[in-house]
Amino acid sequence: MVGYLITDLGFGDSGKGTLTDTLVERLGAGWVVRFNGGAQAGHNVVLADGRHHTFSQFGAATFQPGVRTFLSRYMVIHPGGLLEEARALSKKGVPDAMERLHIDPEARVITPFHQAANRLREVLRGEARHGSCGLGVGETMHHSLEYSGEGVVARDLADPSDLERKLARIQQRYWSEFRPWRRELAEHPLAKSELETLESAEATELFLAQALAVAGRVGEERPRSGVVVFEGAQGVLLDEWRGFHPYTTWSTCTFDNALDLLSEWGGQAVRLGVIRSYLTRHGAGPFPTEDVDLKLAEPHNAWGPWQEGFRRGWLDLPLLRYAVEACGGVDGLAVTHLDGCAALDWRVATGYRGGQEPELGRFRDLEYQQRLTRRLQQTEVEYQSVCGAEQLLELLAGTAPVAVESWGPTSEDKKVRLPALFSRRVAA
Amino acid sequence: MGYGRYSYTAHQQIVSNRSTKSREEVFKQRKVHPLMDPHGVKYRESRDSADHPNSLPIVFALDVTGSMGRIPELLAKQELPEFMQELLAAGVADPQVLFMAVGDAFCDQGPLQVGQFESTAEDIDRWLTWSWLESGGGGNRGESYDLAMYFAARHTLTDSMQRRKKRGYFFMTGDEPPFPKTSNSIVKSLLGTDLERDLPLETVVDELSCNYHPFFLIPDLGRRNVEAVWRSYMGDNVIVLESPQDTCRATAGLVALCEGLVQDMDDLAARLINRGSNPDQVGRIVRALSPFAATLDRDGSGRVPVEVVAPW
Repeated sequence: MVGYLITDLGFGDSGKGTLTDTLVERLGAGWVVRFNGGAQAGHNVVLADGRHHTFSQFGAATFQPGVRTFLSRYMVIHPGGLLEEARALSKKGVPDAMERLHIDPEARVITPFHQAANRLREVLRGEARHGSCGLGVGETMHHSLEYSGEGVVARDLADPSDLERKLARIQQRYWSEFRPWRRELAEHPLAKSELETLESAEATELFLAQALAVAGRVGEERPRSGVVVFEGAQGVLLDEWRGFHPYTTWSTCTFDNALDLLSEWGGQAVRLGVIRSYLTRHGAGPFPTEDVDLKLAEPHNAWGPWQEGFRRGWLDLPLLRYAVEACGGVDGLAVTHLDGCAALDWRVATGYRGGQEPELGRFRDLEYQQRLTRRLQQTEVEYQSVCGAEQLLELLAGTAPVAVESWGPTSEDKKVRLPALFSRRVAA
Repeated sequence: MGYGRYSYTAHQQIVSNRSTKSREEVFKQRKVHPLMDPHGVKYRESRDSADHPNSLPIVFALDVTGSMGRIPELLAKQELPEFMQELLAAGVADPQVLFMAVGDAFCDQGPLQVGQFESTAEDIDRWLTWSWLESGGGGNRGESYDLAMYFAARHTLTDSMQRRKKRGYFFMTGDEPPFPKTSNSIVKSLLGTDLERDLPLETVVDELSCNYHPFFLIPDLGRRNVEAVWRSYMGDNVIVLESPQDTCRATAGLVALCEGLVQDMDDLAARLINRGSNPDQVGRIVRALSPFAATLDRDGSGRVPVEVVAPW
């Protein structure tokens, strides 16, 4: 087995969806594996025939007939979201997406109460919001770590009576937790309906129906040979340990989970890091190269009520070097949105004044990560002007070999610059 | 738990809005509300707070089988504010009320439902009306009263007890005998706790009595056939009411008597009259509570009967 591992070297949204779709097609891969995050992923794929889908839990190559998705134990699944996404795909000419989905029995499951709790927590944080997507992925992870055995995993979905009990425990735990703020939450426009969920007698029933509808997809089926594309979610700069605390996600965004799976399954890894020709970020947190005047069309990145706006800035080489180091190196870079930087006056951050570039600290040292956050919030950036995409690619090649160039939204717009990297297909 | 201040006016508003509604409109649950499912619950907690520095936990375990569902309905549609008002008037500053609903574990789907300790009208009322009036109970002689007592004994924590070594109150309504022991297999399936063996009811009552003044209330004189068996477990703490209508004022009276906030039955009767209870009701309450009050030496005997109890 050969695994092509895709991770985002920024804050997410670099184009993992389109890259996954392209690699599956060019390499003839049979499976896409999700190895982190959950339903908060929004991976856009545009087909040459104009069809478009924002992949959330299904692998981003699902438009291609026969390609299967494996949701590993590192995924946090959202049953209602899966059903909705399968319906949406069906309308777009993919009637069998659900039949091509396979879920690890140990994958964690988001319940309506995790989601509500996550949103209530964000409301209570007020100005200090973390920029959560509001789907409850982090809350689910946190809860399952804090109270082991209490959380829901995919294997539980098939047993409604046991599941109902588990849900009642979770609902009561969260209800009690938010009880002291009940009155103020009941009056808050964003919190009111979430509080109603925590007090609802019906939320469980709806969830049980959704759970049963996806329970049949949980089992032992998984990739066993051939070429497999591992589609990462979010971005290394949001990683729970390497990101800039507390503006991080409850998820491992490096290659670690994918490498664990590959070593269990016995396969070789090719590690690809994706970046845009510029940098973007959803929600709060440090962003040294942010430039509010950098306006580019972003058709698929809407504002969610649970996140602050979509932010843009210039490509940041110090952060890129940090991200590459954080995930233990990459075999190649995939650079997307190259068509965007045809604009005049393009810039790239090459350093920070006074040598304040972030360095990798001790693993799992959140105090250190928080110091990095404070430093980044005050840093002064040194820019270099870049004339056109070619010059940008040359600059990037100093960090890691550029393997894939993307000049547009569809697979046809992708150029593979280092064919040698992909010749391992033969070995598979 | 127990947040915010109690308002009698707000409570009256809630119940009077319902006076013309049917039982089904007020009690909408058609299965156990997940927040009242006792499975896996470690503790329900009654805690002091800035608003309530002297919290006094009061548990109402209401039989919801068959015709007993009339009592929760009465409480929700007219009587519960009177309970709170009587308590506050007597000087119980920080009552925290927890509702349980009791059925029959041998035939009901929800034989035990448990709310939370609450202080305000809206919050107390919410748990009462979230209760599912399953109206089950079956052909067997008995209901699962033991489960409510067991839960209060082992699964509640109160600042009143922990900080002040002061017992709370446990009021249970019912018209059937208890089962003689708490079955381990039922506790295991319903609560998720392994007791390793069945618990004799005597043990459960003893444990309950450590933390609460326990009372069993029979709703009217027509159902005294269960009095003897209950007295064998709870002695003088079995109260035979003459009407379920009196549940709130009688229980408030019991708290006031035990707390020493009324001098004796005469004092209690005078207070009830002063707050507008009709003489009929006052008479019923005095008769129902006097035997227990006598055990506290607060039945008023030895004093010249006061005029308020004279008219009939």
